Amino acid sequence: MQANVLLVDDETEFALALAERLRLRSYDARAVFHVEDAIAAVQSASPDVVLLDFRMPGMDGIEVLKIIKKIDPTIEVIMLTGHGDVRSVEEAIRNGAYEYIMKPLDLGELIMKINNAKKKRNSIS
Amino acid sequence: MTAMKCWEVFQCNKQACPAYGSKDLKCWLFSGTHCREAIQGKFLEKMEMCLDCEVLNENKDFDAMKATLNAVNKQFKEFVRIIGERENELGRMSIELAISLSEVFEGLKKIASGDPTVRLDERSDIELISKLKHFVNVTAQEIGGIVDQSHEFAIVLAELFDVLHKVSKGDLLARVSGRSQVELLESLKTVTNEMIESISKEITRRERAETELKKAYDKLERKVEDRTAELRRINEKLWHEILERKKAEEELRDAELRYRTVADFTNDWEYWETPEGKLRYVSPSCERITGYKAEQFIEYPGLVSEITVPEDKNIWASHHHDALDVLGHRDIVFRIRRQDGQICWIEHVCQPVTDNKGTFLGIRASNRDISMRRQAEDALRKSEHLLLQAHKMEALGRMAAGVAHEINNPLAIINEKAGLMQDFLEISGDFKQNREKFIGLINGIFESVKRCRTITHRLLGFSRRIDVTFEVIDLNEIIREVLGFIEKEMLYRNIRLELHLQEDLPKVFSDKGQLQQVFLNIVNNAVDAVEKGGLIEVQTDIKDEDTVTASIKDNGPGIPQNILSHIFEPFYTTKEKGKGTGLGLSISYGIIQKLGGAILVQSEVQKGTTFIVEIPTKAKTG
Ligand SMILES: Nc1ncnc2c1ncn2[C@@H]1O[C@H](COP(=O)(O)OP(=O)(O)O)[C@@H](O)[C@H]1O
Ligand SMILES: [Mg+2]
Repeated sequence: MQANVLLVDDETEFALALAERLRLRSYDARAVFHVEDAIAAVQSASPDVVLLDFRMPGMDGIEVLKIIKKIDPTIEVIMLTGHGDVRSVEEAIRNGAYEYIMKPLDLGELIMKINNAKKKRNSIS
Repeated sequence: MTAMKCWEVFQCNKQACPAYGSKDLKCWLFSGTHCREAIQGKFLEKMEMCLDCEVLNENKDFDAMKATLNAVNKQFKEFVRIIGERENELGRMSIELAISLSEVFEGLKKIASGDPTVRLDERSDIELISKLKHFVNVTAQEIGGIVDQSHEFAIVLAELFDVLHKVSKGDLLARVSGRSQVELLESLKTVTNEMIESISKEITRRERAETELKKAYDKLERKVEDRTAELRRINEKLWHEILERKKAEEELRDAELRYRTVADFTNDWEYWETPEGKLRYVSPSCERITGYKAEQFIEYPGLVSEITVPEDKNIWASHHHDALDVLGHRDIVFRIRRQDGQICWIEHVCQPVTDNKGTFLGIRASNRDISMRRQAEDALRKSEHLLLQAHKMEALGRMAAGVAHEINNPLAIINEKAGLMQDFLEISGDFKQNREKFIGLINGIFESVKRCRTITHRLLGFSRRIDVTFEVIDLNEIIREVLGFIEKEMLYRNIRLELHLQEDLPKVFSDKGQLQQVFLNIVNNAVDAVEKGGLIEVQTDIKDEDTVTASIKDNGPGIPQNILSHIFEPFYTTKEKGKGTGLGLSISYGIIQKLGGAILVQSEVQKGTTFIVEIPTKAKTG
């Protein structure tokens, strides 16, 4: 069974295209564009992996990460970043993020990270 | 038988005694006889004594005894009556005594409790009682008197105090008034009044003395002042004379020095060139500067231009020519090659020399070795350049982060859309079926490319020049361009931006690139200062016909007074390492100064900060 992936990014076009590409590879992928929708989806659908953009209007990605981890600590979060801000990446990892990946992203790399995250989650729960 | 007579038996001659010479009395027992005087009046003892009496025993005569007994009986009866009467009287008396005593006690009690108004009726049959009552009354009266006096005492004392108080406050006219019944008080009043009078006299006396003293002092002071002024005048005159003398001496010394300077002891390489082009004098310091001896220059005047480096030969040549026919002071800078081959910077100053009739005597020149100064200036210029470079790097780094993010997003879209197209081809393999989708994706890619282009164009529009180059510019446009870079950052950090750009703002003739840099620095600081959800207001205005202003206002924490005085210093930063270089404001300050404008700051702790940049519409270099 492939991972259940939730994509959170205010760049609608990007999130939609990426979700579709993941679905074509039999992942259960869904995209949301707002922080509130993301929180609701995490609560209702309990995804295995969340791909979370660092920069969301209105709320810092780190804050969203903290909320997700509070709802379900076993959900693995991969942060998406537009620029390699080392400090924010460090902070994200300290707050429980599983990995980070730079935009524009390499799909192979992303899929590897999603699979690893899913494996890690299965070994925990 | 002859009856025995007592006076005869006892040989008594008390003729006053009733028994003496009596022939009728058969007994001498009755009262009043003077017999044995010691027991006179004590009837029973007397009777006992009489029974032993020889005379009575000799004269035993019963009739006489009967008569005596009758008399004694009568006497007894009288006694009994008297005793009964006395007993009655005593009873009555003891009742009165009890009542009167209780009255006396009551009276005393009242007195004791402070009520001296008690008066008792003094009439009484018992002397003791009336005496007691009288005593009570007298006591009450006396005490009453004392109480009344004490009232008067209190009142008079209060008045005395009042008067003394007034006196102590300086009212020397206060006096105690009225007359008192009490002698003591009366004298107290008198004493007080006397005292006051003497005090007031003393004070007036003293005041008068003081005035006298002050007058004397003033006079003295005036004298001292006059004297001081006089002294000062003398002193000044003296100083003046001394100065005059000094000046004369100095002038003398100066002349000497000048002479010596021209002669030998100068650091500079001096010479005097005659109208014929000969060197009349060359100072020995030429050797230190050029390596050649004075004599060599005197022998061959062309040496000066010969050792000039080829690049500066024309400077020297044209100047040399000028100096000959232009009267006045001129200076140039050129390089020479020293005898040891080193290059040396020379600052050359020259002046025509004339005698007191105005005849042209040639040119006096002074050549100074300014190589060290040149080096220092070069170093300064280099470090300034480095400073600017460092700041540019900071700004660039900052910008790069923002730009990377902004470009990476559309790139990510292009990436995914292209990837999806590839997926359709590779995974589903049918192009025709997905034709509509392909067109949509390609359009999406074009859109993203457009986004990237806007950003790159904006970057290109952002000047990279450091030198000042003036052009006609629209301040509002510059502000919009600068904000374009920071807009996204503000959006993500939930910072609200309010723009109040004045329409018909006069164009300014200024340096676009430099102004962009200034505004970018100030706006970046404002973004750093405000919290999430903060507000930044940017406004442009016309200050006067020669000046426009742009103000950047934030509602951040403000700048405390002790920090405010440092913010324009280079490298002063309160930001954490890696975030601030402390160069932004110092560089902006330098730029605006160069452009002839000004930067003002208004800041209030906990309210926010406003930076106001004033820019002249016409270029003036400051
Ligand atoms: N808008 C502002 N609000 C509060 N403090 C400010 C503001 N602008 C500048 N400062 C203060 O001035 C200092 C110097 O600013 P600057 O020269 O730009 O250097 P940097 O930003 O690298 O620290 C800052 O560190 C900060 O303390
Ligand atoms: Mg700064």
